[in-house]
Amino acid sequence: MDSTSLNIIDCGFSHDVDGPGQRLVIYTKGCNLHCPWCATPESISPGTEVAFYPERVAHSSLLVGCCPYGTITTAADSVTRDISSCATCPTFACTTSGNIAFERIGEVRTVAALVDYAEKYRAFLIAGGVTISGGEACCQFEAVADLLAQLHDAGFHTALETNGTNPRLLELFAQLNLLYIDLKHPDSLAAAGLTATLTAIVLANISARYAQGGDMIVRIPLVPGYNADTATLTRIGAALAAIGPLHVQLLPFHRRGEVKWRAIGQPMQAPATEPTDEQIYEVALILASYGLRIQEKD
Amino acid sequence: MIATESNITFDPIRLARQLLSVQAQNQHTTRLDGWFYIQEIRMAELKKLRHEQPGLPPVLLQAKLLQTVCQQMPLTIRPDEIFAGTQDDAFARTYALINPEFRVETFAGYCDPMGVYGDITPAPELGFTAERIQRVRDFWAGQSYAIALQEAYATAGPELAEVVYFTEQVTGHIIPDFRPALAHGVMPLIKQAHQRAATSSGEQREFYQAAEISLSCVLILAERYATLATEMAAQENDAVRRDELELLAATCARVPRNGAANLYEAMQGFILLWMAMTVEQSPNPYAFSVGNLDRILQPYYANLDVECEVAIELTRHLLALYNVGDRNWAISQDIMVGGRDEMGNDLTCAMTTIVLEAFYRSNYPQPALSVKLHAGTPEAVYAAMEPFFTTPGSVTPSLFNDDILFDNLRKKEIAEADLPDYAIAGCQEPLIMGKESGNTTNSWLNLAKVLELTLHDGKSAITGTQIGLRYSALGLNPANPLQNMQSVKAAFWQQLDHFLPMMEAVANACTRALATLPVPFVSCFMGGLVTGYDMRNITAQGTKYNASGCLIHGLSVVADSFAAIETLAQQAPAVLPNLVAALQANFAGDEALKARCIAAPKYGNDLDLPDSLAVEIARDVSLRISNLRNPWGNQFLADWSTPSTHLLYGYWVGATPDGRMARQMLGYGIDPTAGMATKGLPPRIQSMHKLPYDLFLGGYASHIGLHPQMISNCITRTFIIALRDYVISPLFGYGARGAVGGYYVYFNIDSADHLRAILANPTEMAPSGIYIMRIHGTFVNFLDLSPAIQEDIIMRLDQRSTNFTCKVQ
Repeated sequence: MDSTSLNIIDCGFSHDVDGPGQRLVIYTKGCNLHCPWCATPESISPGTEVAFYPERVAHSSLLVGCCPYGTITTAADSVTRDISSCATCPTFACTTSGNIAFERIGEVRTVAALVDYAEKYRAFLIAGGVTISGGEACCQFEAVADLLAQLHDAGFHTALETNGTNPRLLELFAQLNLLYIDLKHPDSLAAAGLTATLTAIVLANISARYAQGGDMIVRIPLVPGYNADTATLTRIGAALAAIGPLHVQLLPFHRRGEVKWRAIGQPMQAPATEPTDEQIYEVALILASYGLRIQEKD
Repeated sequence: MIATESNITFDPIRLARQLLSVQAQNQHTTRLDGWFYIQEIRMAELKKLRHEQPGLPPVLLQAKLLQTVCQQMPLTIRPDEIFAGTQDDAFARTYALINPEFRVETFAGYCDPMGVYGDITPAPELGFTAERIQRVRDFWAGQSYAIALQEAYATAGPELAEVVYFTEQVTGHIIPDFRPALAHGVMPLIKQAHQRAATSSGEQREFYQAAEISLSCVLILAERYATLATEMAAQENDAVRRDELELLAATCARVPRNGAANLYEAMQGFILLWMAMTVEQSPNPYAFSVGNLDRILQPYYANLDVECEVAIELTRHLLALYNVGDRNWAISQDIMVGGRDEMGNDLTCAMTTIVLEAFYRSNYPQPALSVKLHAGTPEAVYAAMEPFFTTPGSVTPSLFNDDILFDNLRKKEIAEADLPDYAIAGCQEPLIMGKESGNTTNSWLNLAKVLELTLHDGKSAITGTQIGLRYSALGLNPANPLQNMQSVKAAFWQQLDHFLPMMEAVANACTRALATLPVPFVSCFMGGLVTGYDMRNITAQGTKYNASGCLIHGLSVVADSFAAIETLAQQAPAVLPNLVAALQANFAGDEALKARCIAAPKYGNDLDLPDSLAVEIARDVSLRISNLRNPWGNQFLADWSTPSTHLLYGYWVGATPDGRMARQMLGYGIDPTAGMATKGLPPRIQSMHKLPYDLFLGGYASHIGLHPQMISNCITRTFIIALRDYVISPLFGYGARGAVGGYYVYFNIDSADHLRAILANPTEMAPSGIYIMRIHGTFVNFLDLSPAIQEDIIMRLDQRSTNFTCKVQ
């Protein structure tokens, strides 16, 4: 990938979720972490892949012949896919067969094309803007920097959703109207590939943005078994409070991404339970006790 | 407070209570027999006039019939009514298309003026014997109008039975301009007609004479009501009610003879004018519209220091005029508010929000409500609309965009000064109040059926009947007709060009049939006093503006079908030759091909291939329609709306290459086919923005079904402002560079799950028995519909096409 292009999963729209007002959201592909609770697991791998949803077709016989390389095996009551060769597929022919069971994940778009796309939809974004999300957008740092600069120069309100682990993040601050930055853990979280060093970078980036004064919301995924215990949250609260009275948003874990994990051929490793409203409220109280300003996000 | 001669003051709480009483009485009005009395009175008078005055010109004949009807028809003032006048006597029992008896399967393919006699139930105890009904029916079946109409339909072939096209005589679908009569009274108009009759000759003289007679008819009604109210007051024991009846008597003695002095008088005058108009056109005077009620009433509201609450409750009593009988079914009588002038100045006024509030409080299916918007519409108007959209089961106004629509009206050569006076008639047809006879629903075209005939050698895939041109005439290879999209498309245009002159001829024959029934009363409020001609006169144009309409069906199905053929040609050329047989078999045994057809790119997802085809079809069909001529020599106007007829017409179309099964509904208006736009609302709107709205001079239909979750998801602004910023502004192109955007939309904010729950448990989910949804130009009580229409409403919520949180590429 050169610096003028991005591998993206998709573009989409949301309102009041990924920034103020109606947003065009550009979902980049590839992430340096691998959180087991991820709701967009198809964004983790940097390369193009095929999500497979056999449940979308009425009968398994409709899947026969869609893959010319023989990865699909159907029987009367079952369908299996040999995923081992899909990532290196030379054609991704199944995704152009007209069969809705196959979905290509990953398309290369030039920065110029994405800016054009935003321009095309400008009327929808007047009361909102453009948000770059992921995956982890900073994995394609040069192209993202260029994209943000062009969007910002064109008058769009810009936002970035990032895990905050890139030490160059502050280079983007001038082009960003709003920064969403994750703090997943106060130390390291091996299951997600988060090291103490990376967490230190996250906190440094938060601190830098706060010092600079731009809009920022720190997001904390709330995942039972990983970071939702009182001791961990107390340390998160303390770490953030040391920077300032930051705006914090809780992202309670949900299992809506499970179907996507299945579609890319991997089981979801996250816990079976989602936090209850009472647990979320308790967490909010803990963080608020540190002077942090708590918002909840669906 | 309203100051009146009898010094009565209205108490808004009493007015509200009285309205409940009026509505309760409506709910017990299970027989609508007034129209039959009117037909009987007309029948007797017609026989007498033919005997006494043979050779009386039709326009004078109709004026005299109206006069006799107004003299003889039974009149009542019901308990708690504060206004005199009704339109119930003009309508028959099953007066609306969208009623519980509606069945897609029983569509007759033509418009039977005698069908109304099937609506009246014999009731010997009331004197309605079957023989009496049959006698009146037989008389009218033998009159020139019914015969001419029958002859018109007889000229058509099997294409009419299977709805390649449909034609009808257009009654209603106009907006009379009663403002001069309200301001100055009817007397100056009568005087004007009298003077012009004296100085003109021929048809014009006959019209002015008829105008003088028919205008006096509303005074007959007013005088009879004044007398009735006086008599009732004399026998009334309740002092407050006696005062009301005396006020009513005094008011009917003044208006509409003279100009109205205050809001109450203006409303009373308006009701009597409306009554005379609907009586003139009974039975079933559908689709007469009011226009901008806020602007009509504002001078009288501004005249006196009237409490806002009183004005709201009086307006609710006025709106009750439009609730016909017990069911309040939709009859396409529209009221508008808001808008701007030709300079761009906002024209909203105090009555704008008063009318909106009155609608919200009443929440009945009739009349229909629309709001005119423009880039400068004040936030207060949006705020007044919010309750409609955030209350489940509430009426919701359809929205018009003056900024784009004014340009379209200019293309119709509407004068600048007339632009602000556009209003909608029928469902959403924009016409100039008092100046335009659009003959809007004169013809109906089924593009999907034309495509079906093209693909099947001119034969119906439903019945096998040979209806259209064969492959050989279309330049297609009979052995392999689907070689590529271009040849099929060329054949489609040829097939369409074969049918259009036929449709034009039958439509014009219907228009000529209707001309045998002049309408001098309403013509006085449509420019007749200026031109000297009845608005239905086909030898001379009675209105300033005139055209005929063509409602075009099947845009999305045909565009998606061509896209599917092209996609198959590119991706799977080997299977393309199998498509005709698969369609003939309704895809039976070929699920894989059907899946391919469905997976082909679809209009409504901001994709180049289907969108460009939709643009091409919309443009070229609109231009072809504009080349047709009506009896006045004026254009037919393309109207891309399908008022539930997308079900009817779909029922007569076999399977199509877009993957649609035989007999399934077509797409609604210019919307994507339900279920086929899956990328969310912004791409859907982006697709629709590509369409040539400047050629949609007759109107178009579009619906957006939003999920209620959107309301709860609004964090940073109120729902209505979110709706404005996220949907309306982009859709209507506010803030865009140049003219980009549509000019019409309506919303339903509900979910399929919720509506199905209501159907499953109506007593708990909708205890009032009324749950309003909008369906094309009208409101309907969702609980009081046929299952097919209920399912259509649910299907067309189509919330994958209106999702905001969506992925698009």
